[in-house]
Amino acid sequence: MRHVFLLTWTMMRGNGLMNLSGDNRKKRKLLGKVGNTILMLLVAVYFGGLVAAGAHFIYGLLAPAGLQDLLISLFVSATVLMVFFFGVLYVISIFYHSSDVEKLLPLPLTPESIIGAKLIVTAVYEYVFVTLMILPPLIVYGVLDRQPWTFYLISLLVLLLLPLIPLCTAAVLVMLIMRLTPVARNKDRFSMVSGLLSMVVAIGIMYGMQSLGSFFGDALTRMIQTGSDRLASVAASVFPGTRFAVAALTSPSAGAALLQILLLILLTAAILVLTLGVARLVYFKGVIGLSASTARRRAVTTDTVRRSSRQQSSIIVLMRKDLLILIRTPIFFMNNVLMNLIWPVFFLVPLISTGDGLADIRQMAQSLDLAGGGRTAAIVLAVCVAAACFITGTNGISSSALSREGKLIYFMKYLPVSYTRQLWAKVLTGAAMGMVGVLLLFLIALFFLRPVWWYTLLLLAVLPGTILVSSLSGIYFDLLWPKLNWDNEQKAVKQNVNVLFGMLVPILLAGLMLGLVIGLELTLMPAALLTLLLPWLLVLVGHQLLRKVARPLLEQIQ
Amino acid sequence: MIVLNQVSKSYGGKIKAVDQIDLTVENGEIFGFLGPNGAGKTTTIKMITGILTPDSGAITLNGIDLGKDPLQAKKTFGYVPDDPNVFPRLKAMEYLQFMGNLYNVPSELRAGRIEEMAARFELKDALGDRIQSFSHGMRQKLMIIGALLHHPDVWILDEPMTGLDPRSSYQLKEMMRQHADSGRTVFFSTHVLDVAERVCDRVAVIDRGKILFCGTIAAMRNHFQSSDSLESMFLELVDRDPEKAAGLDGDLE
Repeated sequence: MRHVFLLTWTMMRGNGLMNLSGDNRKKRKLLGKVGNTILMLLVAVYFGGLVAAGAHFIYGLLAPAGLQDLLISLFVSATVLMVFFFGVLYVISIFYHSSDVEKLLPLPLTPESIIGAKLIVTAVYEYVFVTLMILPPLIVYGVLDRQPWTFYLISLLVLLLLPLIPLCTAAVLVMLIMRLTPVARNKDRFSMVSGLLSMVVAIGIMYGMQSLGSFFGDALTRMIQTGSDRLASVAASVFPGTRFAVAALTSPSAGAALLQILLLILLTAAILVLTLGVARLVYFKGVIGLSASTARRRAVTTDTVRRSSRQQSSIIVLMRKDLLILIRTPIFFMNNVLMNLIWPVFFLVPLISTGDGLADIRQMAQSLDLAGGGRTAAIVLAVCVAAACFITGTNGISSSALSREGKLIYFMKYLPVSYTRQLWAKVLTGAAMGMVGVLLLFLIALFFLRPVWWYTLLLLAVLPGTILVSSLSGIYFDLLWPKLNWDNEQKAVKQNVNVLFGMLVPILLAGLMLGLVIGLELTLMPAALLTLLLPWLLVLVGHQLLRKVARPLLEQIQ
Repeated sequence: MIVLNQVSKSYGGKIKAVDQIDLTVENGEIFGFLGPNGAGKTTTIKMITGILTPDSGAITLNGIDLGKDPLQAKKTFGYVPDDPNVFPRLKAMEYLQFMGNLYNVPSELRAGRIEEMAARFELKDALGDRIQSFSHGMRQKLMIIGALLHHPDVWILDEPMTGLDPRSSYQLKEMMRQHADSGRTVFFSTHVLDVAERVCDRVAVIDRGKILFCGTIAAMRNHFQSSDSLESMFLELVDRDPEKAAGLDGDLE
């Protein structure tokens, strides 16, 4: 047991759960911690608020029919199924693909100790999710249903026990799969597929939530009832503890509730023991040899060598290298590349899910007077420019460009290419990816707006400067505080406060341009001049600044 | 030719990693840089390659001041770092083309050089694979090919033999000899004293940031009046009292 706790402690430190910023400098560390904590709190409050609002709405629908207990059943079942889904992904990643596996295997540790510790680490991740998912509806239910204090005590116990059974089930399933089949043995491919799958699930949930809005009154109540029943039956048949959890929360007496909790504890304990037993039998057999990478040993023909030996500009070559790494590294792909494409999708989903609303929106968009060149045309232009700023700013490519290099930053320093040029290659990489996202959104906008040809050209003319300055602004933060000391790529982009800072300037710029166009009541031509010239002017100033600071700042990095 | 003039470097303003060293590596010689762990070898190499900036002193490569004209100076050398784990998600060929482009290796020469060196280091069959699938030795070979692709005058190699199989190690030593014999410079650090003894024209021993000895192996033997191996002389040097050892600064030739 001592081994389990020691391992858990070590893994949590290593995973950054206890150390959000990996940088050594104290000031930077504090800044990173504060920034990350604020960001996490904001996300938690936002997500929790959304769930609470949804629960409040559903309670209002169910209570008149005396069906409010369905709220508990609905959220508990949904949470259990989500814990299982994320559990499968977490287990593969933490049990099998984590970088510590290779270090743990040679140590004199039993598989039960390793899996016990890894199970606790995974459970911590799950508890964060479960708290956000189940606590708000329980509080909403408790307050609106005037539940006694014992309800909250039972809720707390349910919260602690609920994720363990689906998590253990996921662990057993994955351990058996990894022992018996080669599925998910390729780390990169798995990360890419699981990331995309999570995104599809997230978009599916969003689509489902949007679709809820198109039902009203009884139809909505019936739908929730049917949905809840289905979810509950699936969850209860796969994870037997779900029934006890729901029964505990909806029991009329505290005694009956405690009895259900006791049953839940017994069942959870039995499943935990079973999981560790399975670990003892199959974990080592599944994990040993997993880290050994395989290659097909592809020779290259003389012709291919000749053809690829074309001399290219250093900026293009550096950009190509960065793009290849961004696309081929799953974490970078999910956080930096996919981010550019996700905004257009987020924009489209609500439009598509409203059904008839699509035609209405299109009609409304086309009724906007763009050809007249008045204030409406100016505001639409400013909105497009603001969207371009936002998309490029949120991709975090330039604001994590040096952090992503990690310990390989030294490579930049001995290449015979000026620092300014190398940094510009990174800025242009971010801009190129931003351009992809912006062009996608642009196509959607064209579909709705159907503007005259010169308005389309005008839009195309103002976008590059905006995208470029948004990308350029991000590089300074990473130049000032690069996060180079990381052992897994996640820390370079996900736990990097520079990405957050990198969004600030583009969002401020978007707000400024939008504010000026609306506040000064500009018509199209002055608005076009503003959105065209201001970003390029800033690019010029930014370039001069980069030339000045690139060398001293990069030389400071040791 | 590499010249270090009164070069110092400290970390955090406290620990002096390199302390006012003077070093001249002539054209036409293989120069071995020896020292125990943490002696200042890698810090010195990082300063010569521009990765670290010295706190004081000057470094010139083939007469070009690294501080004043870093880009021109960087073009003169090829550098093999001590850690060959670079850009694991690039394919070997992509990495070599990347280096070839940045060092302006003409297209008509590049393909031939890649093929010739890949064949020499038996890497030809893996050029289409991602670097992450390579063993340590294969990565090391790739680093060497990448560093030498532009036929630099000065070779700076940090622990180049680590992980190489005997054939490749032999090949590299042969290449180092040929390079030096053609009147150019090879500067390399190593822990393998046997290699240094057999390959180097001159060696320098660094410890605690100071050069304890600089000269030929014969001069070292002469100084110690011993016919012992380089290993025993090395151990005697670095085990000395630092105060006394400081007195041995400079070339004994």
